[in-house]
Amino acid sequence: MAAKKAPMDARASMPKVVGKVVQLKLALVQPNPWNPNRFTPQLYASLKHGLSHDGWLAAQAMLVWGKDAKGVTRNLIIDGEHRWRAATELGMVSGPAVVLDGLTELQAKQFTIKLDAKRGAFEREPLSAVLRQIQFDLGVADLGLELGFSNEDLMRYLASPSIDTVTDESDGGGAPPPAPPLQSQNAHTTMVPLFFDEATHGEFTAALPKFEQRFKTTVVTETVLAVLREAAKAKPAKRR
Amino acid sequence: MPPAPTAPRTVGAVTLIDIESVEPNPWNPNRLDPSQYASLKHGIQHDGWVASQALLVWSTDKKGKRRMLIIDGEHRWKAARELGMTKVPAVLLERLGEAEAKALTIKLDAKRGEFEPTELGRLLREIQAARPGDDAGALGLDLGFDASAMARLLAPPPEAAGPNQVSQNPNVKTVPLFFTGATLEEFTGLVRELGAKHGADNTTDVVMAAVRAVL
Repeated sequence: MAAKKAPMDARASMPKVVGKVVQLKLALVQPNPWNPNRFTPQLYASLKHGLSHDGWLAAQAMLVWGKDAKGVTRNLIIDGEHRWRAATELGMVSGPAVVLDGLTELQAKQFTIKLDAKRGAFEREPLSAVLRQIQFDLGVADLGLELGFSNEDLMRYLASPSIDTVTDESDGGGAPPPAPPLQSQNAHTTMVPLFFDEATHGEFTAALPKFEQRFKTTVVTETVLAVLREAAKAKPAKRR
Repeated sequence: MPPAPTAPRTVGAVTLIDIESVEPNPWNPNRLDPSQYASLKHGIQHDGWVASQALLVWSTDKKGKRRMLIIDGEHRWKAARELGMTKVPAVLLERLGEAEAKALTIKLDAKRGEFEPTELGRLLREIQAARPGDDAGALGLDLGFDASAMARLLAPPPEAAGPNQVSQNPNVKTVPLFFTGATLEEFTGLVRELGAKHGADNTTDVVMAAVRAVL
């Protein structure tokens, strides 16, 4: 896995490039069971759209845990599970990947977190500026899908920075709502707790796997939402 | 087996380039706070630059004019340069319009998903237990979280630390659900609607009524 030494590798402490990007058969690897990264269905659709229209950029290669420290083959995706899933669904048979051998499970788990955690966040004004520059040039029907934003967010980011202090004489449409400061994405998460007694909790957790299978969900929140949607669709309520 | 005729392709190839041959673009809206940047740099220094995180470079524009601007990876490039690296992994894209280059900067950052806080917390506690020699500060630097984020994420699971004191009662089990803006709205709308339908007046009862009706 070690990259060739650069010819001018003079400084002993200089960091190295680790691994090499190769084309890997997608069927050889599978998602790890610990990945805490989640995509909303909308964002996943956008990711898949991007792979389908732009291809899979080799700069977005998967990171794969090949063999563990004892030489046992693992072939688990450390980083890139959603790209792998979307590419598989799109019929790709191989994709760009770096395979690291010799990692312990702890090291593999830490890589999953590190590579996701150190990504920074969009700053509102520069983001709005770029979006305004490119919105017409791209010539795409659905800019949100193309770029990975909900239409609601996109509208906010495209709004003029001074929109809430100026009366609406500049633009054709109504003034968009004033934009809240753009925070890191996680900051928008709201927690809603459900409180159970022992018996009901048992009933709930026993039902979860059945729903997960039926609605193809993996996260409790998604599963509960799917159940509620289904219940709302059902005509007269089945009284219990 | 050849790929299906319509299947997308891998685009570009990773090569090692001279770190001085490229420079940051002027439009990048991505910001790292100082602690996150320190953590990124720490990672490159200690783990190396993992080649799956190659730079994406706008090599030439539609007219073939040389640009050599970093589309994605500015902070990695900056940290690596400060650490004395001379060659870095990169994918060079040629004959790309400026709008496409700018769009790539946005989309590659926007489509990353989010950490599910409960699962992230569980994983971090597991890692912490396996590294007894490291305090939260050292772990945070290594993994990419500042001190307050580490404190929040390493706190005991929500069963014992929910915002509602009811969860202090050992006989009450708490299951936290996590929503972002649009899904929270949908959730509260559904709870209201189903609450009326099932004659239930709190969220847990509504969810259980739906579970029993749908099962």
